[in-house]
Amino acid sequence: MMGVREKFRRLRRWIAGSNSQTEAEILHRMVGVTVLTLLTLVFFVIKFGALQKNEIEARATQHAHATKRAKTIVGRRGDIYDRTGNKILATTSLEPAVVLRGVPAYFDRKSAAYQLAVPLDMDPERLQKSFQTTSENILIKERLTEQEVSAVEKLGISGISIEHHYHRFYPLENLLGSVLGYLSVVTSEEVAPVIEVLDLNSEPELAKWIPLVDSLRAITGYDATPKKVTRKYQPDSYLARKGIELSYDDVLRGRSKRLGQVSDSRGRLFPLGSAEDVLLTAGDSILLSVDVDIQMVLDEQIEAHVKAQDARGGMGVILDAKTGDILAMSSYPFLDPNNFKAACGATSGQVDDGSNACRNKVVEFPFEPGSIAKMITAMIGFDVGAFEPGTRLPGVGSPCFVGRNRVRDTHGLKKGEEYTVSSAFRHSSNCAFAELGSRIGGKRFLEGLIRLGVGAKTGIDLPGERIGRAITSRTRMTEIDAKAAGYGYGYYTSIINMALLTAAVTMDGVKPKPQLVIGKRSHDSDNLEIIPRPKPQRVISKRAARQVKQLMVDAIMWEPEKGRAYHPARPKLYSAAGKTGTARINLGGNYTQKAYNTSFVGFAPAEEPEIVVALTLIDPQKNKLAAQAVGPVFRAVVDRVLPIRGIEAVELEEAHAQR
Amino acid sequence: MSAWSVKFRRFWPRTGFIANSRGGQLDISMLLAVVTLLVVGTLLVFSTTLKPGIVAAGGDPYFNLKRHLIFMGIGIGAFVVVLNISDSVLNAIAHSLLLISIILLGAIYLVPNLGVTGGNSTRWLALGPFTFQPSELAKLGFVLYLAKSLAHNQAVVHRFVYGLGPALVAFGLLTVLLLRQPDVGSVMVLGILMILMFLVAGTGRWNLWAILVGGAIGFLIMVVAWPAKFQRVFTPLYLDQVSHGEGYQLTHAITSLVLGGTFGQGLGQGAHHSLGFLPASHNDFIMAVAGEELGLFGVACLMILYAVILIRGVATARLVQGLFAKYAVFGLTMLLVLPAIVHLGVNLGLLPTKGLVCPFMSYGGTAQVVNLVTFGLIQRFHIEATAEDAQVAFAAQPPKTVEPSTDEGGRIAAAWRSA
Repeated sequence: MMGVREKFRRLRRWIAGSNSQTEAEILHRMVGVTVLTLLTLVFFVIKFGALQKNEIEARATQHAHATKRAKTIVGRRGDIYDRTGNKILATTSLEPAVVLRGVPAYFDRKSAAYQLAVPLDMDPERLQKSFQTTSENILIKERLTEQEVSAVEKLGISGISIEHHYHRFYPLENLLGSVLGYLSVVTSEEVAPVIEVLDLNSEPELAKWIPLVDSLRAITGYDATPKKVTRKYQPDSYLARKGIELSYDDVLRGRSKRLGQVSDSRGRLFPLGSAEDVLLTAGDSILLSVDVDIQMVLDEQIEAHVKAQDARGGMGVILDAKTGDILAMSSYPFLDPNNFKAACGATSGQVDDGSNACRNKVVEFPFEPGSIAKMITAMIGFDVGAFEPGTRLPGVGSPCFVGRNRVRDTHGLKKGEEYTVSSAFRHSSNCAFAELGSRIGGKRFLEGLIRLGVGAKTGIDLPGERIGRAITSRTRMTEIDAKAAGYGYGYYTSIINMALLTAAVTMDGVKPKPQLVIGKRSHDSDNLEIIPRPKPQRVISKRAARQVKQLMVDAIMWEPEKGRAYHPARPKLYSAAGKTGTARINLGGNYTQKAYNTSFVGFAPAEEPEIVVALTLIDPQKNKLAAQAVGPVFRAVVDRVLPIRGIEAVELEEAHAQR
Repeated sequence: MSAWSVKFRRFWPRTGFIANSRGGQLDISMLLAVVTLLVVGTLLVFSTTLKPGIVAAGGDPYFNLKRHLIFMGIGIGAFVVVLNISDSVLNAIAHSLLLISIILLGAIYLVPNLGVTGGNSTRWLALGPFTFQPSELAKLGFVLYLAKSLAHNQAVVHRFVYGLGPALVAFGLLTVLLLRQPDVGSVMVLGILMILMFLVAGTGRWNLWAILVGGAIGFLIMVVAWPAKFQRVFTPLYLDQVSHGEGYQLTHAITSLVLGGTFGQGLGQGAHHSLGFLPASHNDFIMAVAGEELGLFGVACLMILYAVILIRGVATARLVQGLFAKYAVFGLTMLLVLPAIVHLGVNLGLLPTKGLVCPFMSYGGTAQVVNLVTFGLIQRFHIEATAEDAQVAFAAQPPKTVEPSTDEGGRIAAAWRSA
């Protein structure tokens, strides 16, 4: 066996070869240096392996943090059509927006803010502040003009990119605005992460950390309890806020999908998904029961008369008298969903005196109905058999007392005349209806109101329906309450509910349930799915309904004495029926001096009702009486809407005049 | 010639096209190692420029690849040319080459509009559409000068002034010119190489200590005088604190290396560098790219190829005749291997981050050409050492004993020793 020393000696001799001694020594040193160099090389490779082993997790996390981005893709929102399926009320367009997705490694917030502020016409300091957020996605500005897009692209700031976002657009502007509602970007409160403290006792795995957490808290005061942080919305998400947009958000909203993206060091994003994924997430479209042509008539008339009467606001609704379908719904001042901030920015949370455009007054403005509620008194009275249309009311006259309150009638009787229920309705006698309320009695009146659904939510498919004080919360009604309720005070209702009750009269005692959406169209097919109407509910007998109907016809269609005018609400071209009502405004529990809601509920034509109309002008200044203030609105609406519905006109006024 | 070489001799490339080859052979092992490095390097350079950002911006992802291949072609041409230059010619032009290098380095500052600045350094000379980096030529010139100087002063190599003085002066001059650029990486490589050459030459340990201490003092003075220029030297020491500033490159280089795991993510699949997180990945951090795409195994294989170059270089140094040839071959080999080791050390954060390309693998014009020229010179030495007449002479030569120097330095040394 050759020893190591001998081997080494032989190696030295081989290295030396036939070189001189000096050269051999140099070669020996060369080999030494080579070995040293090779050892360095091996050390570096070993060090590399150790580095990989120790840092792989931390570096992988660092890499993922720097490159992985996720964008929530929301599919195209479904459209909203009117009942014809042709007129688009709400649609979606692709608009350019400038966004910051993730903050790149070298992102100069101040420089970016000041560079962007000029072409985007924004405040640079506010922009810079918005860049400080830890959120990974920041929506800077939407709906850019072509000039803005090219200016931003020209700047070429790392991380700032132009994206195309779906933008909700309402082509008919303020037509049906309050019904449709609107969408807006989530607020900073909504986007804030939800921090949920984990219960360490709940999991055996977590329980072992309890002593450590307690010690940390005791020593440093720092609460190290593990917390789960979740974020419900992304910062650039859009949320439905009001109207149909909100109540049918689940149907309309495109399905959202988290699309994986990778970011390079300059903040440029590269999607990991495909375009097909985005198409699959579109929302469904819906059809409203509303007819745009009828809606336009209603809007036009309400706006014109609110302005003419110098009223604070107005509201109205038109129903199909046979089915209860909502054909039009108007709330003035109108809301333009394209510019909702102007109406809804500052007024939210304030008491609505009737001038708040952000509220859909048809369902969100409960009021004491006043004389239009005499229809309700008659419905209950006839239904329970408390009186008949011909029932005489001897000794009843104006003024009279309801408790300590002195009540008087606007249209008094001539001397020696005696009220019947029918004439009291036509003259809208408060004293007579106080007497009728008394005859019904508190218990039966309360039961009747509950059965009719007065002061209760109608269940309409719109959010935010308000009813004032719920009638169901009352356990009893005194005789005085019944008297006051007889002529429409002491309880609240909305104009939509009054319209539905009027429809119950035209539908022989069956009250329809309101539903604005009548059909749905899937995003991937043209087939229309009809949404069935909710089953209507009988609220009074057929006989009672017909009796009330006749009262209402008489109230409008009475023949005037020679030289006197017809009822102001009487249409020129059609027969009609209805009831006016002037009620003092009660805001926050106190009656406002000389401020009235003037209302009208009615239907036309009288013989074969086609439409039901309910209208209110809030605090008109020119005419305080409903017949003069709101009667002409009904008249104009009927004369213009019935031809749209295909009802032949009869020149009633001229015919009467000739006769 | 080894038995292995003889056995496979018929597969070796013919050297008939090389002037005065006299039957000498190319070193096939070293050649294969270099060709492999060139191929892998080209693929990695292509991978570094195939970035989604470049593609998305409408840029040419093949731009760097095309230029890299052009310079490789020029380098291969130069390699063939230098195969025809005998060592005697090389010995004769060694001084001139260093002189030319120094003149070109000076021309960067002295001739208006000639110097080209990139990445806070003025290292290049403008030559029409291309640029030339004189520091790469200076490295080659310095090694040949060092070999000639040490061979000439072998007898007095233990004397600081007479033995090492000329080389130190040349190194000092180059250091001044290179630090002006600044190119600390080249100074570092030349410094290490010079010390290793002194060590090989057999200078005394006190001389080496003197050089090391002197170098350390000079380095400290420069750090104090120009803290901004030398700030990055200390970056690896506090990398966590400067990972978004000075240490950004190194932080992401380490991330790239680590993400590769054992076998890498595959060629062209390195997400971290291709997403642009690693600046200068195609030159100063090509090993990080290799780590990400080929993994620990791939990097180890590449290092084995450099080890092959080193071992074969030393084997050639054993065969060649004369001190100049031995020093030159060793120096030239170290000129190829040392930057690769330093490059890996820099990528791992074990050495200061100073722009230094990896021979044969990194993208680089002048560096690629000069590296292939260097490789060609080593191969020429090998051809001459394996020429039939040289083999006969080498085998017939009996082992020599003391070989007194006949030059002036040798006489002075002999006199000094006898005194």
